[in-house]
Amino acid sequence: MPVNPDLSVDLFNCKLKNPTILASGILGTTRDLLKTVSLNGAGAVTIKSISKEPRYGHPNPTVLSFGPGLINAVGYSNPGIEKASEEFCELDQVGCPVIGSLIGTTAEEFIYVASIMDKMGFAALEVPLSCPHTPGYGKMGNQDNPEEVSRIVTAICSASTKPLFVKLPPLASAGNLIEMALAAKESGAYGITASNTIGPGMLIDIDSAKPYLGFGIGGISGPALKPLAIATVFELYKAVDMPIIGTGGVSTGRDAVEMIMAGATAVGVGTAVLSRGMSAFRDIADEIKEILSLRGANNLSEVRGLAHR
Amino acid sequence: MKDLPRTVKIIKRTVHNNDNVTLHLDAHISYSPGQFLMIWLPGLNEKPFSIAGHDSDGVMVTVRRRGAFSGRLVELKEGSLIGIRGPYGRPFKLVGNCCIIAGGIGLACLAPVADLYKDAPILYGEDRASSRIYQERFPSASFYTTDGSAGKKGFPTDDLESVIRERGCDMVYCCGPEPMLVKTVRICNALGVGCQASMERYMKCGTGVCGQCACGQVRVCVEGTVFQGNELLQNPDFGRRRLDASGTWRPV
Repeated sequence: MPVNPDLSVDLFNCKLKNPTILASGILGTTRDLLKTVSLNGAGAVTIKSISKEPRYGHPNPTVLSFGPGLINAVGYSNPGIEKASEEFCELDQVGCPVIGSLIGTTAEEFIYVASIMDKMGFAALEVPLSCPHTPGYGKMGNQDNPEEVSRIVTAICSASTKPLFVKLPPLASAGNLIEMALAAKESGAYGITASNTIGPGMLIDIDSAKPYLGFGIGGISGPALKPLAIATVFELYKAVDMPIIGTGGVSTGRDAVEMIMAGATAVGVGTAVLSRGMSAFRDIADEIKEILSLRGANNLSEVRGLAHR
Repeated sequence: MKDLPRTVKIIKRTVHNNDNVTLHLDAHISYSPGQFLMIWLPGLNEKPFSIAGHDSDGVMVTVRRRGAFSGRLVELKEGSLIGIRGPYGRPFKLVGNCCIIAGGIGLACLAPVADLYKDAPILYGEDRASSRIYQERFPSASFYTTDGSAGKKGFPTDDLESVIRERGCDMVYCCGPEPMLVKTVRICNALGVGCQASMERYMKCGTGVCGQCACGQVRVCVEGTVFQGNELLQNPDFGRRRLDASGTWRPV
């Protein structure tokens, strides 16, 4: 039985030391915080999404833990690409590959941001086209259909040669998921991140009769999302030959192996930072290693897609 | 873990002056000095506030009018409902032979420490006399005003070194505007006296996931708000810059 399974993952011309990737929107506000996440064992990290102009996002509450997960409506607050390009410089200091997440509402905005990010030290880019709670973006910007995916991916790839991941919604909320993934691939995307939060969701405080979230509706992540995300990755793996960052409710090594058996190349970790703290990345990696070891697997490719066989 | 705001009633208001009100909440919360609550006004916003103490009825928070949210909070009547979640944050480590130094509404954060150590000297400064809080709660506090309208003209840090030397303090507890924190931490460091300071940053989640309160490599809401002086001296953002709601750096 192998004592020390190899957890490394080859992805976007990098070797990740393990498959855990900090999901966009969690902690990715500054380079120094990314450094902390890297020191806590992440294989790679994703910055919080950046738009052309600064955005202040939705009023608080923006992120709430409701039991089986988080509900959030942050609304893409970010300092804009000009400030972000100052913040996310000298990224080799982070200690692991950094993925640059970008958002936009028009092809021009995507091209503008992507052309600047192309010159930054990101190992790859990611574009979420599936946010359920921000007017102008994702679902509320009508970006979650194959035509828009194609148009946006084409725009970004015209401005950047970096490998591009397209972040898609869970299958449960997107009947056209496979068509979107195929459109992404045909237009030059490198991989898929699946899935984004599911939504819109809402929770209401019965005393005030008001929604808890400042924006009213939000996206749901964490354990509540996990089965939906696993099914999404499973279907994508069958239909599209692209690397998949399996994201949604991964908080233990067992969750991660489940995601990888569904077909994920690597796993996004977000909400687990709340349930397990900063050490979630190292803890999940250690647990994956233990599971592989018990299975007698030497590396992740021996379990990847196993649920399909 | 379910951690949604829960509704509590304001059972009493103590009006200190035009801009400062203590809200006594119908909420018995197990907290440690230095911790904070996220206070939610449905449909408006949610912001962090230090727990300013407790009595047999429950905990209290002291609110200073600064913007739209705090402006609304200070106007709320007895019987009004607000949402709270928490307590959050790393509290003060308690050391008895201490000195307390506060600037402005920072005194609210330190009040539970002062309640515990009644003999501890309190150095407390405000811009002007009319902003003073807790005059009856801490009548022996040494009071300073920037404009000299009451107490001693100047800053509480002016006398910190002499108080530490006279009393032989083991620990200084500090909360207030960041330049004052910087000064306090430096004085304590030079004298070889322990120091713990509570910091303020813009917060969203309050629970360590959103990254909005980043300060150097730490999150103020989880690794803070209370930090040891030596941690702060090594933090590149301490006394320098803070993230605003968009994630843009601003000078402190």
